[in-house]
Amino acid sequence: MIATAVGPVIQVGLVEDQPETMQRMVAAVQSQATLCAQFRAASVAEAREALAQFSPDVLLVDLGLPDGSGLEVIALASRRHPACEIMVFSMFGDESLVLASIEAGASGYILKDTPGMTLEEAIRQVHSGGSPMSPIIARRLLQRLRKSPPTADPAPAKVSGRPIPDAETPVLTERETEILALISRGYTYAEVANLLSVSIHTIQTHIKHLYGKLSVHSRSEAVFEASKMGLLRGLLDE
Amino acid sequence: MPLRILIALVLVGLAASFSVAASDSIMTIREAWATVTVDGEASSSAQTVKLPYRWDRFSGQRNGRVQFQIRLDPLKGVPDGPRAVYFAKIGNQFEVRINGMLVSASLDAQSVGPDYSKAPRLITVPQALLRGDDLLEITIRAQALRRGGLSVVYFGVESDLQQEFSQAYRWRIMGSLAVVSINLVFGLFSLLLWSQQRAPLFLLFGMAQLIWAFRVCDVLIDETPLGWPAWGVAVAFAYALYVGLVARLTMLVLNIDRDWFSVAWRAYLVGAAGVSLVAFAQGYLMLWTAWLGLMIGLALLCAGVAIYVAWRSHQREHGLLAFSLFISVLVGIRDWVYVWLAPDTFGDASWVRYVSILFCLTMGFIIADRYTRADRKLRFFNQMLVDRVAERERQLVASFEQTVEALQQAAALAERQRLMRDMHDGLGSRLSGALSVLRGNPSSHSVVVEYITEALEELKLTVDSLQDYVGDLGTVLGNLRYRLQDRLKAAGVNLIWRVSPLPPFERLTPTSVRSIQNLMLEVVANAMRHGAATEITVTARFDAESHSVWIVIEDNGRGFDPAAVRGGRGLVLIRQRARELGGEATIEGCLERGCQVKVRLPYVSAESPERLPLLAVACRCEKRPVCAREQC
Repeated sequence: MIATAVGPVIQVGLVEDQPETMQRMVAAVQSQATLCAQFRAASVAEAREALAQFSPDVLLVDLGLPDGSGLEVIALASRRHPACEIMVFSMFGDESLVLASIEAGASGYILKDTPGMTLEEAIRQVHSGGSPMSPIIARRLLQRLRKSPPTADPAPAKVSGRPIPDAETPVLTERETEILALISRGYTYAEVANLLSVSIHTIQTHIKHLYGKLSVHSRSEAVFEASKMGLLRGLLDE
Repeated sequence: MPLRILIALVLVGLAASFSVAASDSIMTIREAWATVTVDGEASSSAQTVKLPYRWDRFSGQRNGRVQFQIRLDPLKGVPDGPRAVYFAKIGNQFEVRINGMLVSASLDAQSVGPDYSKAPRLITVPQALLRGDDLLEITIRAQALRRGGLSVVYFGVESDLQQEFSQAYRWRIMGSLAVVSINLVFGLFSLLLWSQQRAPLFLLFGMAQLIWAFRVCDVLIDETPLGWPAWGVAVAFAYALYVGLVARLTMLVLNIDRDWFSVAWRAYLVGAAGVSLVAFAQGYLMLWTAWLGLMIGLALLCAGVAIYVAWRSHQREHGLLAFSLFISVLVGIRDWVYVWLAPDTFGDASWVRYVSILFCLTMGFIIADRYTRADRKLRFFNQMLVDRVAERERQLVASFEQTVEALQQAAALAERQRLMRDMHDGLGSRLSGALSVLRGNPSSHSVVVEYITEALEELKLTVDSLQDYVGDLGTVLGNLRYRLQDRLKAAGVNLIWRVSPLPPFERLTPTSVRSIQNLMLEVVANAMRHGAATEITVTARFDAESHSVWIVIEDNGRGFDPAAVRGGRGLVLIRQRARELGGEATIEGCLERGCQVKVRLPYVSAESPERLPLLAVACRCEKRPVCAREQC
């Protein structure tokens, strides 16, 4: 773990076990004036140590680490630094891993070989509109979010006597369903924007929101499962 | 041991007969004055005859009448009281007078139909008629071979004779009634069993018992439905038939099935019918007696065979049957000798009628025993069947598991082979191409980049084909576009995308996804490489009428000459991809006006899951006259 200088620019944490890739990434980050490599970690243990010490604006995580899964790092970072944008390195945008990462708390993913796009651009893209959404991811989101999360017991609907805000029960809106259906059939953001007569920026906002919903959805499912097992009762009564 | 005791008891019983106990209150009369009148002849002069008097011995096959006169001495030392006359047997028809006064009569001068000699008779003598020295006049009418006559006559105190009468009545009439009832019950039950099971044993036994019931029933009927001698023939034949059926039954139980026995049995029946007819119609006493002797001989033979078989087989039912037969033959001999041959036993009842009860019990045992054995056997077979079914099921489950495993292995193998092919043909060939370029000309950077980019694209498509598309063909097409868009953009091709919502396919396997990818890539590559297209339009929609998904790929390239490129490599490849799928495709080419490929993919739903959606591509060039140079 090597700590580097801290400045007013975007602080980037890097978790990658392959030295060559790490080298490229560091080089890419350092080539940009607005980015700064805050720390480098080559294992889950190093990442845990670094996250205890630093508070990065952006965390780039590779999932295959020698002493565990990058998902652990994502979960830890999202708990400890909620404001941190966590991004996963992916070779192919492998959907199941990407979805698992987002459910664990990541904001998006960055393809390792994005042609014609610098790392900075990729990071900025995630910042502004979330990761590019492939048709398969859109299809998965449609599947995962089409139905509202199960609400069986009235108990988990209230936390400390207050009803859970609507924002925390992520069900797809009609517009979101439309967008996801079009993307899953291969339409580009621009085409979707055109077909729905909105700006491409609006579409990007929707995409980012949808990723957020997936993350919330997975959390609310966890809450539901926990409440089913009676784990939350004690906590809620405190 | 019990068998021996039983035999001893039977032998003792043979010697016994029912006779009235002599005492002072009862006078036994063994002699009488008799005037015999054979029909059609003059009456003989009165003479002393011994009682019992049996008509058949004196009549010589004829009917007739006898008038007996008996002097009754006063009973000495017996107080006054009601008196009676007791006849163990009197008839066939009779008339009794005391001192000329009629006290009882069944004599009907007009008819010889009824036979009143079957039951014992007790005739009360009014005290007023007795004078101390009294004349008892008895007139009987008898028919040949009808066992008519007069038994020993008893005269005495009515109450004492009543006991004798009751005892004889019980034995002869009530006993017969019981035998008839038992035979009817067993016979009907046996026939019922036969109607369900069709076992000849039950039929023979049922018939035998009913026939015997008929035979014994004769004792209970004075006024027979048929006249004499027709009724006599019927009853005699019934007797012979019963013996024949028992013989047949015996052979069946003993499992003796010989042709000669069948022949002999039939001959016996014919003989029995003939002898019954002749003997009773003509009143041949000796003929019938001889026939009875023959029947006894045959029965003895059967009993001998049964004892022999039972001795060898050690089967309980054989032993029991042999025993029953043996007892029956002994009783038959006793009756034959006592009733038919002995001269002074007229009026004693035959025993043979009770023998059938022994047979009923034997058959009852045999039925119960066989049923028990059959039931046991059935349980055994049932258990065996259950075991076999269980074993078979185990084998089936094992075989099913093996089949499933084999199928899984085959599927895995097919998938592996496909991946291998993809790696070898796509990724492998591009990487090795890149390597050879680097070796030959290390400075050709752009070519290597192109090779490796293509290799990565190939790898991504392979990985994509392994995704779960949950049957969504739209996502398969969408993802293909997602992968292609950078390449198309780099080539300056504008892609117009028109993919409508498509219904889900039931079975969209990695292999079929790869085939669709390859087909699309082939068409797009052709449009770019050979057609030099700058705009490609992809349309996909579901057509409810043809129940198919139509994918149409159009370009604005140079087009081609359909006639010139019929066998071109591009078409061959498309055809090859098509063979991996199903359905239909049309390629329309027009020189300078681009190319259009229409692919029809038959929609396979849950209702027809057996067929994979195979995409057949039929290459058909339209009639447009202008043609393309390039192959499509």
